[in-house]
Amino acid sequence: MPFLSVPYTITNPSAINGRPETESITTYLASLISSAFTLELSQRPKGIEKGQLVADQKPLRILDLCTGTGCIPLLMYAILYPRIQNLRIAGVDISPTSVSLAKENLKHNIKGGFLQEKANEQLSFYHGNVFSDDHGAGWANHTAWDVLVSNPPYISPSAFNKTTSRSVRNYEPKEALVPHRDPIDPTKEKISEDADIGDAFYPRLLHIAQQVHAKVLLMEVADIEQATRVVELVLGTGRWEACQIWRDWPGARKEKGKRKKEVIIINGSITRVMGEGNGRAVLAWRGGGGKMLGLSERYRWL
Amino acid sequence: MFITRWGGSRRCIYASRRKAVQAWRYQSTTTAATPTISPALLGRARALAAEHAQLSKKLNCEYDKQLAKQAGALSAVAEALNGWEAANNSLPELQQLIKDPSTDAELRSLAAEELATTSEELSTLSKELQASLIPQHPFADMPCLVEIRPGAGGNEAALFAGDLLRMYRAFCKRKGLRANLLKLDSSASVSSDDQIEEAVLEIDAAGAYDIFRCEAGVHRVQRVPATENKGRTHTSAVSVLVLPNFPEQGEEEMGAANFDDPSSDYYIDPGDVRTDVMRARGAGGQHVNTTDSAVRLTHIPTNTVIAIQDSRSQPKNRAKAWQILRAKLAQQRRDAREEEMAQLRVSVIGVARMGRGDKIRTYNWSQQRVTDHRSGITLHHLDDILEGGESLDQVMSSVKEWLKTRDVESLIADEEAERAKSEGVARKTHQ
Ligand SMILES: C[S@@+](CC[C@H](N)C(=O)[O-])C[C@H]1O[C@@H](n2cnc3c(N)ncnc32)[C@H](O)[C@@H]1O
Repeated sequence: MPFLSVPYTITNPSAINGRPETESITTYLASLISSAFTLELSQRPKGIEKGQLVADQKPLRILDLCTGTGCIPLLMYAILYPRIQNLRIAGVDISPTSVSLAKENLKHNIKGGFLQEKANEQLSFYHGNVFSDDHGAGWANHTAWDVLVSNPPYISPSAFNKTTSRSVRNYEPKEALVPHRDPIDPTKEKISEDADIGDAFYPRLLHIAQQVHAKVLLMEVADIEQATRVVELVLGTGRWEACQIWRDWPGARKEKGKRKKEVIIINGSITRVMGEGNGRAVLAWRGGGGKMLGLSERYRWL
Repeated sequence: MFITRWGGSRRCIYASRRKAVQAWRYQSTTTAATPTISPALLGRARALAAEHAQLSKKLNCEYDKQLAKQAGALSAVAEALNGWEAANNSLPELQQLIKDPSTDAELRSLAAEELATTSEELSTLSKELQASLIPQHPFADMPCLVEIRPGAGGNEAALFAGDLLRMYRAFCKRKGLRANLLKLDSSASVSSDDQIEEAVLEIDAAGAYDIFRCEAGVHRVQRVPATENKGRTHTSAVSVLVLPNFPEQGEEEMGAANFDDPSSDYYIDPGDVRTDVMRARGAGGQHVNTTDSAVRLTHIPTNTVIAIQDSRSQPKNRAKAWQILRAKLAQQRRDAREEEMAQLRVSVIGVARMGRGDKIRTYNWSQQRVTDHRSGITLHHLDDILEGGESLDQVMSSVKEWLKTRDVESLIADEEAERAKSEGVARKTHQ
């Protein structure tokens, strides 16, 4: 059970175990949001009661696509709830067994006292295919989500054979790790570059982010090369203010000897690389998203 | 680096001390009873009492060792405040009763009597409340070392150093405090405790530091030396150094129980430690599902980082990282403490060097008197004092009372400065 902190999740053969890297970047995202929120409360205008501000606040809405065991929503809820009670978090997965597993994990954590009873109403899991435009699906009924997160299948077919550990190949479902050749119609043989297959989910995630008016977008990736390609995609839409690349431990200080700040120039724009480890995620924001994350507007010049 | 505590054990020391202080007060006029308490301190007391109430409420729902400890430390303040408020609230009622023309004579005289006792009580309660607010000295609970060294005055000083050593030993004996002579360098040809170059007395009792800390400084003697044939009075000085005595804690004998004890060097607040679980190597993420992960612990307050990836077993790495983190922090704490000791030494010796001007107490043989220059007390029982008798208790208590007054003064000053600052900020934001 690599997801070490509270809440804990269990898995079954149809889903993959939550990874420590996912835990790390999820924790980092949630703590950015939580501390920015606290800061804002402390700087509330005079004459406004703190309680009033909290009551007036619109719910913070977070959507996790390709949720698997539900570990991302559960962890985010656990971190955010103590500060931000007005929360809605939803997880979506194509595998019905994963959806019931996620629901199971939710029940488990409430029973174990790791999550509030209220999590029952504020957290939900839906069955759905991110590639279908079925707007009748539960998660799509709400057209707006503030934060979109996803740890989609991102391993290319050749990497699956070469770089995954044997127990991954033997015991975990390939559908959870390697995108289908043609995500819309898996039977259709689309001639794609190997890397393109690994990247298949990202354009779609960007499309959905647009539809649901997401202000913050966090997508897990396999390595720094994929991260760079995803940043290119994000910048290519022309709809996002800025990007960051997160390594496995985005909060970690750079080890001695390394440069303090790491940046990559992608298509002429400066992208900061945070923390240590392998390239693990791409963060993008716009609108009020920078404020939600506690990143200032001057950010891009830093 | 020391945590301020409001100790519970201090109360009983005060209780016994208060009797002595009162006895002494009739002879001295230096301390006037303060019937009221500064608004700043009252505010602080109320805040602490509110914190105490909240902690108690939490404890009612769920017992927690840490919380209980915090609550215990604050209970003295809460109690003292309760007593003070009860007495303070009854005053206006009594005054009203006396003023009211319709009150009959008998009741009025009863009320007047009651008013007198309540005012008296209130003065005691105010002192008690102030005392409860003074943070405990960080070394108060510790055993201590008393170092005695003759200063200016040659032989005479060495002889007086011997007198002081005997005085403290007799005092310890009477009080039932275990005292061991750790070191005795005599300047006399035959080793004796008559003429002393240096003596170190270990007082091996919890709280000894708090008892003896008022003794640190320059003690001055005025007498006619035996060798002086013209009968002139000589003045010489002896410096007394009081140091906290830290028990030796070998790493070997440290049991796991100490990990939960916040006063132990090995204690780490889990909330201060951030745990990162990292892959030791390879691509990570979806590529790997085994848990052969390295563990990194970061102790946030000191920014101490321990990363372990020796074992394939994650729990083993974690246990090892904790073990090393504990040892490392304990080492840091010991170093810091030694540094603190060194500074303490410098400051005390510094005082001693300043000589006469900074004398804390004078022992005058011809007048058979002892004057403490801090509290201002003068007693004429020189012999009893040198025998470590109850007169010495009186002197020491007077100094403690003096220290307490100073502590209260600085508390008020701090509290007022704090207020001024926050009001200043409030004013600024108004503009
Ligand atoms: C790599 S796993 C991530 C699971 C979980 N979020 C985590 O971090 O542990 C990818 C998940 O995406 C789901 N998935 C694959 N294709 C999908 C699709 N088209 N729509 C929705 N979910 C999909 C799989 O069932 C699998 O649970």
